[in-house]
Amino acid sequence: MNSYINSYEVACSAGDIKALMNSIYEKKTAVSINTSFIEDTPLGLGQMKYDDFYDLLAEVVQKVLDNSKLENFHNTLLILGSSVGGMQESEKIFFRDKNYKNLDPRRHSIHVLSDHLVDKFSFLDSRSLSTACTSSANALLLAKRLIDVEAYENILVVGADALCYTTVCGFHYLSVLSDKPCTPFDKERGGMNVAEAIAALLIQNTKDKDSVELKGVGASSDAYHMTNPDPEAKGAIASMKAALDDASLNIDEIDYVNAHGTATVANDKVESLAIETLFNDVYVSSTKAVTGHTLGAAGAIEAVISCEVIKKGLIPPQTGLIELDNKSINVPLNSVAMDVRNVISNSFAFGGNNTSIVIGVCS
Amino acid sequence: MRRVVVTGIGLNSPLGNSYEELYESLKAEKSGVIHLAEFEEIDDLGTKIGGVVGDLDFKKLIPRKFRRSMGRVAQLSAISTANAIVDASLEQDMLSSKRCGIAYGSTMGADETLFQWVSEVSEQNSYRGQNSMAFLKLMSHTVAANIAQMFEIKGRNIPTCSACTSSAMAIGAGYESVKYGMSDIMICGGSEGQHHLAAGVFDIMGACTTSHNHEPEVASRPFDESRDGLVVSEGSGAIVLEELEHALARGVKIYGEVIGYATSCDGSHITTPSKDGMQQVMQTSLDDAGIEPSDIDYINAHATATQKGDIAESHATYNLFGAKTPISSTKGHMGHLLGGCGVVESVICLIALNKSFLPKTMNFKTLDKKCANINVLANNEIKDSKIVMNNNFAFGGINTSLIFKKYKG
Amino acid sequence: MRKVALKIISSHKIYAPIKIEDLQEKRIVPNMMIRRRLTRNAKIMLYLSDKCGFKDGKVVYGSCYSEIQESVKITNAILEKSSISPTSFQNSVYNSAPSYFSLINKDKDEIITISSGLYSARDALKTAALQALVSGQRVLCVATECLNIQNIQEVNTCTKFLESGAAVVLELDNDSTNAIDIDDEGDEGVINSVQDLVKVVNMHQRGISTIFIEL
Repeated sequence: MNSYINSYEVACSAGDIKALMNSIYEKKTAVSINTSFIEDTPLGLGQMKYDDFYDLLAEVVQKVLDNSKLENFHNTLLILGSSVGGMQESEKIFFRDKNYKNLDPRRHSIHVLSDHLVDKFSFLDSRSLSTACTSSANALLLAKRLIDVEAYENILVVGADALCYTTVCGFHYLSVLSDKPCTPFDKERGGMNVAEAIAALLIQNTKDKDSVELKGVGASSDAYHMTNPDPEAKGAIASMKAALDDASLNIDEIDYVNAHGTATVANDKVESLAIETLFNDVYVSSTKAVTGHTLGAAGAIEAVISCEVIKKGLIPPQTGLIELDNKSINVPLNSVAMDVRNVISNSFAFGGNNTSIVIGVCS
Repeated sequence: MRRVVVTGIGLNSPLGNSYEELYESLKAEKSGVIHLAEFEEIDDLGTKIGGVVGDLDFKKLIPRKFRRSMGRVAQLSAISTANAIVDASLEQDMLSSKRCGIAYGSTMGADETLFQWVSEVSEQNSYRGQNSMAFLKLMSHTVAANIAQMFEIKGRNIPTCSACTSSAMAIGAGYESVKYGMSDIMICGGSEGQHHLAAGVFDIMGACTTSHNHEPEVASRPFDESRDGLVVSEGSGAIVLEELEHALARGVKIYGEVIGYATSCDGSHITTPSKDGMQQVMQTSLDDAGIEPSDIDYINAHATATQKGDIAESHATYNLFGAKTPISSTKGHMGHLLGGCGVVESVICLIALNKSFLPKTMNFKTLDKKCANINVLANNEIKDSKIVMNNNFAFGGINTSLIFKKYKG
Repeated sequence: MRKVALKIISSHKIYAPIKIEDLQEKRIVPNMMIRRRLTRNAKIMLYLSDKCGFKDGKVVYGSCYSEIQESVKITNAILEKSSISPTSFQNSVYNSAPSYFSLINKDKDEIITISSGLYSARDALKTAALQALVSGQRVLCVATECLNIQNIQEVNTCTKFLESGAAVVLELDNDSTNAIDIDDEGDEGVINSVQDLVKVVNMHQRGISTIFIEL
C-alpha cells in the first residue's frame, strides 16, 4: 500500500511549521549566538524556548492529532528517533549534584521520550531508534516499509532532540562548530550549529485531499570512517539512488534536494559531489541555515519542510550563502516558484550512516 | 598533499604549566617576571630579574634513570613532552614506531652543569671530580637526546639548537618531516633553563633591561619608546604534529593546522638583525602557505624589547602587513624564553585561533618613533582569527616564520 | 500481513556477571588503531557476529543503555572543565557498535539501531523481521548491554549479568508451516533488553529452525 503524509507539526528555534517556513523563505536564520555552553566560546546554536521538553513533545503530537482525521492514536504505531533521548535531564542532575546518586537510569535513554507519548496518547505500540543524525530519517524508512507490507495503517513518526552539553561540547572538540549561523555550501563555511527540535508526521495508508506521498526510502553505510564521510561520496550516492529506485522515479523527476547540508567542511564537500554526480542541475538548498542541525530530529523536520515545499510550489533559497563553493550544483539565492513534483531529503550520520527520503505529490 | 595538524600540547612557562593555564594568565594580564635572588650574587650583573617556571617536583615527575642525564633544560622539556604525549593520547607503540620522530632545540645544554664543570675543572685543574653524566647534561643536543631515550623514540631525531629560533625551527623541521612524508608524527619543541650564564651573555652586550630591577613586572616593554632591554627567562614546550588523516583515524582532537613555514639567514651582521632578512622570511612563509599578507589575522612578534631588534622587526612587518594587522609580543608578560620561546609563542598562536583571543603587549604604551607604524595591541582583544603567524629571530641572523590556521572538520 | 515466518540461520549468546572474558578481538580486528577505539558493546557485537558467521548485509542492533559509559566520561570531563576526546564523543552515539561492525567488515548495507528501553531486543527482532521480509536477504539481529559503569549504583546493580549479548541471523521463510511463536523463557538474570533475543537463541539451540515474529 502507498504511504501518505496526512498531518504534521514542528517545534524548533524558528517556532512552529508556519513560522519556520516563513523564516526559510525570508532567509532569516533562527540560530542565535550563545556563550553559556562553553566558556569564552561563542557558538551558533538553534535553541527553543520551553519549560519542559516533555510537555512540548506532547503538544506537538497533540497538534498533529488535532489536524488529522483520527479520533485518537489507539490504532497508531509510534516510531520515534532521537540521538540524546532523556540525556538533558541526566546532565542537569549530574551537574547539580556532581554525582549520579539521584540519576534515574530509566529516564536517561531514548525510550523515555516515546514512553511519555505512549502514556499520554495510548499508542497501539511504539518503537524507538537512535542512529545519531539519521534517527528520524530511519524512523521514516521503517514507517514506509511497514505500510508497504500492510503491517500497520497509521504510523506517527516523531523526531526529537533537546540541546545537551554532551553534544555541544562533543562537536566542539571535533572542530566542527561555527561561532555564527552556519552557511551551507558556502566557500567560507565554518562549521555547523547544534540545535534542538521536535517534529511529528502522521503517515497513513489512506489518501486525503491534502496528502503528500512518502514515495521512496533508501539507506546505505559508507564503511569508511567513524565520523568523516567517504570523500568519493559513494555512500551518499547509494542512499539517494536506493530512495529513487524505491520510489520508481527517474533522476529528472526530482525537482528539489533538501540537503543534509550541515555546513561542515567535510559534509558539504561530499554531498555536493554526490548531487553533482547524480543529478542534472536540480535545485539544492539546506534549511539547516535556518534551523541549525537538529541531530536526531533532522530527518523528520526536513521531511515536514519537504512536504511544505511541495504544497507551496516554492523552492527554498539558500539562507546565508555568499559565494558557492562547488559551482556545479544549483543552489538558488532566491525562492523559485514552480510545480514541485518530488523532493529528496538527505540525512547523513556518524558511522557513515546515510538515509534518503523521497516525498512527492500523490501519484 | 599531506596536511599537518597539532594534536597535543605541553608547556612549562612563567605564565603557567598548561595550555589552559597560559590562556588564563594572558586573559588576566599576569606577569611572569620576578626578582631573582641568585642574580644579586653577581655584583656587576646589570639585570637582577627574570622569568621562571613555577615549582615543579622533578624527582616525582621524572624517574631517576632518565633524570640522571638531564640538567634543568632537559628536565623542563621532559615534563612538557610527557604532557603533550598524554594530551595527544599517544601510546608507546605509536611513539616507538619509525614513523614517529622528534625535533627539539635549546640555546645551550644545561647552563648550571656547564658553569659547574668549567669552574671546578679550572679550580682543581683536574677532571677526576667530575660526574660522567655531566657531558650528557651540558651537550648542546641534551634535550633531543634525553627525550629520545626517555620516550623510546626510534624515528627521526632533529636537534635544532639555534638560540632564540630553536623551538620554532623544531616545529618547522617537524612540519616538513610530516608534510613531505618522512614521518606521520613529530613531537617538536624547545627549552631553556634559568641561569645567570644566559643573563650574563646578554648583559655584557648591553641588551638586558637594568632600570627596572625594583619593579620586575614592568621591565619588559616590547616596541615601547621607554624600553631598555630584554628580560631573560626560562621555559619549555612541546607540541605534537601529526598527519591529518592519521589524526582523524585516531579520533584525537585537533588544535590547529600548520600551513606555512620558512627559515632563512640575513647573511649580514652576526648579531644586528636585518629588516630585509626578517621581511624575506615572512614572505617566504606566506608563499609556502599559498596566502596573502591580508589573510593573516594576527602576528605574534619576536620583539624582545631590545633597541635595534624591535625597530627592525617593525619595519619588516610594516612593509608586508601595513598598519592594520594586529601584532603583539608576549615577551612583555614573561620575558624571553630563549630556546623555549618559539614553541610557547606558537601555543599562544593556537590560543588565538581557538579562543578568539589576541593577547596585548604588556607594558606597551607608546610606539617608539623609530618603529614603523604597525598595529601593536595595547589591550587584549577578543577577535575571531582564522590564520595567524609566529615570527622568531636569532643571533647569526637566523629567521623563522610559522603560519597556523584554524582547523575545521 | 502482521506475522512473518523466519528461518534462524545461526545464533549465539554470551554473558558474564561483571566482564566477558576473551572476546578474541585481536583475531577479529587485526587493525590496532581501530581495535584500540572499540567500546565493550562493539567488541561483544563483533564477537557474536563472528560466531554467527555474518559479515555483510543488513544489520539491526538493539540496546537500552548502549554507550552510557562514554556519556558518563564526557559529562565528567565537562564538569571538570577538561577536554573531551573526539573518540569518546564518536563512541557515545547509540549506533556506535554496529558502525564499527560496518567499518571493520566494509559492510555498506543498511544499519538500524533500536533503543526501546527494556523492549530493545523485542523491537530489534521486529525490525529485523521487517528488513528480512522487504529485502528477502539474511539479516543480522544483535542486542548487547554493558552496565558495569563505575559510580552509577542504580545501573550496575540492576541485573545479574552486567555484560550480555545475543545475536541471530534471520532469513524470510516463505513456507510457514513449521514456524512457531517465540516460546522460550530465556536465561534467568539476563537483562530484559537482551533477553528476547536470548529466547530465540535458546530455541535455535533446541533445534527449532523457524519462528514467527509479529511486525
